[in-house]
Amino acid sequence: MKLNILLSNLFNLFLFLALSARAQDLVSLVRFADSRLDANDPDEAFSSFNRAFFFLEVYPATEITKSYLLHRMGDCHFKTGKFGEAIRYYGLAVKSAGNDTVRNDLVLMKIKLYLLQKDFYFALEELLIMDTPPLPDQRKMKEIFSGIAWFGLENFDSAGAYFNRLAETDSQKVLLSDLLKRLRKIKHPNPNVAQILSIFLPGLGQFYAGDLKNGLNSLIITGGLFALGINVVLNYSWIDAILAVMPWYQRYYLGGVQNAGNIARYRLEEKRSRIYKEIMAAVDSKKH
Amino acid sequence: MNIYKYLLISSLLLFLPSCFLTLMPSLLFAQDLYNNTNTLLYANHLMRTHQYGLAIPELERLHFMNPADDSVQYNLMRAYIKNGNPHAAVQRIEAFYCNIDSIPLPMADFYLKSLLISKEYGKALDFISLYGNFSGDEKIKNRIITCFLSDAWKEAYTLYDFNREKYPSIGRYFENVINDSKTIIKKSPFVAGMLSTFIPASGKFYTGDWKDGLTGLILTGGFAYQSYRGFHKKGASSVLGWVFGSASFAFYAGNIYGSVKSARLFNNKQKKIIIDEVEHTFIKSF
Amino acid sequence: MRLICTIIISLLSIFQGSPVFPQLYQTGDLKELFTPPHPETGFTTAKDNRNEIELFLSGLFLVYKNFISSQDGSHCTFSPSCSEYCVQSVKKNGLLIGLADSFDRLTRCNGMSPEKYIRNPETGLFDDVPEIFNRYIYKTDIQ
Repeated sequence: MKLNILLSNLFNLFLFLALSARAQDLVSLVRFADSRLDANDPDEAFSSFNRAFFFLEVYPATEITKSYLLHRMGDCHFKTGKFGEAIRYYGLAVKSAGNDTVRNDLVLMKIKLYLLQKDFYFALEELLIMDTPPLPDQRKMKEIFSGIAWFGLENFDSAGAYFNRLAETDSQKVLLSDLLKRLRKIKHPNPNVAQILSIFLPGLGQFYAGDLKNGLNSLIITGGLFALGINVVLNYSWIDAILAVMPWYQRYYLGGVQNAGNIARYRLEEKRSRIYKEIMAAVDSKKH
Repeated sequence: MNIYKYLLISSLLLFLPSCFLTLMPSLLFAQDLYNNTNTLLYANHLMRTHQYGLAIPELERLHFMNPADDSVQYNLMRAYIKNGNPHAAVQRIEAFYCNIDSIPLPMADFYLKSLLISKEYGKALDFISLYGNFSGDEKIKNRIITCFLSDAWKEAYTLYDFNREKYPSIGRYFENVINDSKTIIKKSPFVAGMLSTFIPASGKFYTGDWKDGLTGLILTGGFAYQSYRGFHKKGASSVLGWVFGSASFAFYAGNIYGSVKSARLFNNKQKKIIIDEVEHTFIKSF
Repeated sequence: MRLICTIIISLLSIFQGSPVFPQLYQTGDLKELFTPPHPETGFTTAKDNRNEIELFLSGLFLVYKNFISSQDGSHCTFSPSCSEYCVQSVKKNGLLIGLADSFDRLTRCNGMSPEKYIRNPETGLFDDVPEIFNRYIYKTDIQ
């Protein structure tokens, strides 16, 4: 038995020697780059991965694949915030990916980056081309991303359909359907109504959208200009009022109308984003 | 005992080939990715694919491994300049050689170009006069280029006229640039300002910004007209008259300023065309 | 047995696992995706005043930005906007030249000469930053 232990230790020693003799080979370079990326140094990691990618053609290694290096280079760009470059590298990695699991992961990562860049049409295109992944986790992410993409395109019915499928237990089903019902009901500060109200009385649309400060501000400015215009008419003439005050009046009157619509739109977005956050929390809580 | 013997033999049979298999490939094809050959291979690839930022550390490593290799040094300088870091190139060359006035000719070319790209014209002129290996016409040629880039065109003309007969190559080199630079149109800022003072916005028509001039004319004239209406109706106590009058004056004054500025910018643009021509023909062509 | 086990374990430890995407299965970064951006309130132009005139002008600028400019729908063609340009130019050139520069800017703010300026891809507006007046003469230290 002693001999066996001795032999096994000897073997390990030789293995260690064999590995340390190739201390600066491709595998250790990739390991080093991996560790740099983990230590949040994406620039150093990228240059090492790029180096490894070049030498992979000179010294082919079975443990390292082209796809793996491309995907890690994409990760480097992702960490430095260059999402466009990251998408490009992930796309290249997809083409040479070894198995379906990795390929689906890479495609999903691409879709996620499109979503983060708010390129919802691109994300949707990828989602519609993609086959249904076999792994439950990937399937779930695909549903979530589809929901987000439709949400971003303001198609809340389609988004709701995808989010609904994510419910697993009964309580979550109730919670999600309640949230989606609330989402569909959000119509309150209607931008068109706000604009029309502001046409009748400057500031009224802003009041309707719930913005007191801007409503008062608009009312005072347009009211003041109106009073100035009347004053000029009384003291000078109609033509003076049209020449001197009218351009300013129309600027703030029309601006107020436009602003009322914008404020209403902002309020709508705010409300929707609040519900969206709740949906994401509900989806997340049952996952891990 | 028998069992131990058996175990020993079987283990050795298993052990020796496995040792051989694990150790031999790495000894035969030792792939040290950071050795001289591999680094050179990778650096050349990076330079070929214009990834100059990544090439710099590789070339620096190569230079560290064999400091006497000239081609590595030239490539390193090229990488620094192409990566938009001519200051670093200047510093590296100064670090490579203790006496900068007797460096080899190709390196002197790099040094001068780095100095010119990083806009250190005074240092460049000093270097040209002190460096020994430039031939007579090269010295004159480099001085003319530096004078052009540093906006001392008159000096460049004098140098050109003085040496054209002596060195025919100077004439060939600079004929186009000199002719082009003599034919550029210039607008006088003083004339532009005076024009705008007497006829509002006419200075901008003179410098070619007629759209801005038209806007200025409409604004100045419109406010002046409204001011006139106000004063006409109520006399000197007219509020509208004073308000529009000062607005009109402000636009009028702004227009004088704008005309001078516009003329200066016009001249800058013309000069920039010639300086770009000089840069493209003499500096960026390496 | 032990020998074989150690060999297998040693060999296994060399090979890497399949690539993992920790960032893919976290939805945390997607949570703020639809939160609308907050409207701009702090204006850096109004800071760092060196004398009373600049302080007064910066005050006027803040009032204008918050209560008047916010109420009209249109946008300046340039970045920085004309009011910001005015404050910046007065800080660089002094009151008289700064004001003249600002009125010149107002006449240039007509959007009819896009060929003269460079469009900033982020804001979609034309870049036009005030300079010190003498800088407009070609010098070797400027482009």
